[in-house]
Amino acid sequence: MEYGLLAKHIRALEGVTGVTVADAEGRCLAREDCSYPGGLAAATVLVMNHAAQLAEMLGLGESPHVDFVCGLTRVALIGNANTFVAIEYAWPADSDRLAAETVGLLAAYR
Amino acid sequence: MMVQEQLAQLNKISGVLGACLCSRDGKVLACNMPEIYEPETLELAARLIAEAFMGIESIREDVSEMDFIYQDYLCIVRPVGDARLLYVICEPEVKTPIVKLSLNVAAKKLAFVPMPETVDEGSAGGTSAQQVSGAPTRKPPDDSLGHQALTDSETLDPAAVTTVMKAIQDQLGQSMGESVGKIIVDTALDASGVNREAPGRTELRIALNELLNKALANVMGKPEAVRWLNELLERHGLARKGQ
Repeated sequence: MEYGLLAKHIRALEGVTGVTVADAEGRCLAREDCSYPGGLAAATVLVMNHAAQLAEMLGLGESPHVDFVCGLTRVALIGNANTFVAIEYAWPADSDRLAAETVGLLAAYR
Repeated sequence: MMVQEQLAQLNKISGVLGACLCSRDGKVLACNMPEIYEPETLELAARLIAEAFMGIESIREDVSEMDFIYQDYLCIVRPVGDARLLYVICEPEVKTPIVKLSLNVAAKKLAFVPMPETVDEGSAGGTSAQQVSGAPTRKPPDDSLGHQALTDSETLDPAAVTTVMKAIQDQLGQSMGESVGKIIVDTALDASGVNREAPGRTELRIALNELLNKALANVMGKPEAVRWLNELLERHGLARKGQ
């Protein structure tokens, strides 16, 4: 997969201000204008793994994405089995839309 | 009663199925969740939520919101002071702004409610509201380790530093999970500019204070964390002679 290209493509989505792409081990594969100094790739994988376990445990359903807010930054975490993406986005962009578009791009680049 | 009242208030919102208050180390403190969930399941869920939250907090301190969005339900999490987390499980068609606003209000109120589990064990004769509740005022990082604690030598043994960091990682991992412990330690080292092949005294002191004042103090309590870390440094030849 062309991770650099994938990152650029996601970065071009409306409202996106930064992108980090990670593998399942939490290694950073590509970054585009990411404002986080480091550790976001590993944290993304950790959180998404925990989100999947939480869903299974409480019966919350499939296709999780996780949103968090730090200061003025909004970040959406999205992933499939092997590739995880952290998207920094600006309000009023909708994380549901960004998640759906990113999942589509992940499938297209696979 | 205040805590249960707040949780009950949240449960009254249309579409909210349950609410739970837990500590940052994943212990359920109060819960108003559907009976289909076993207590063990809720404990494990609290641990997962707390670890995920702290995973993000290890890279950026000011996490104010975290939402897990699934096909069938939402799980919305808010910090309560520095020591606890409040979360609700909702149906997806819930009026999210109302739920988030109510959750923010409840989190602010609960930040001032003391919970026995979070009482600072080091204080005799009562603790302040801030200490017991994890109220939202943060102290700036200070030199709790003490400038005198580390050896005077400017060049430190990289192997000893690696061993000490691994011990800290394991200590954090016991309550937060191995991967969170690793992220927290790695982030502290990177943020402090510690060169792992030739660690400098000043950078290491900053990293150790960062770990001591936040993660270690959170899981062990500050006095115990200071004592433990000083012993660890001494054991690996990184303490100042005569300490």
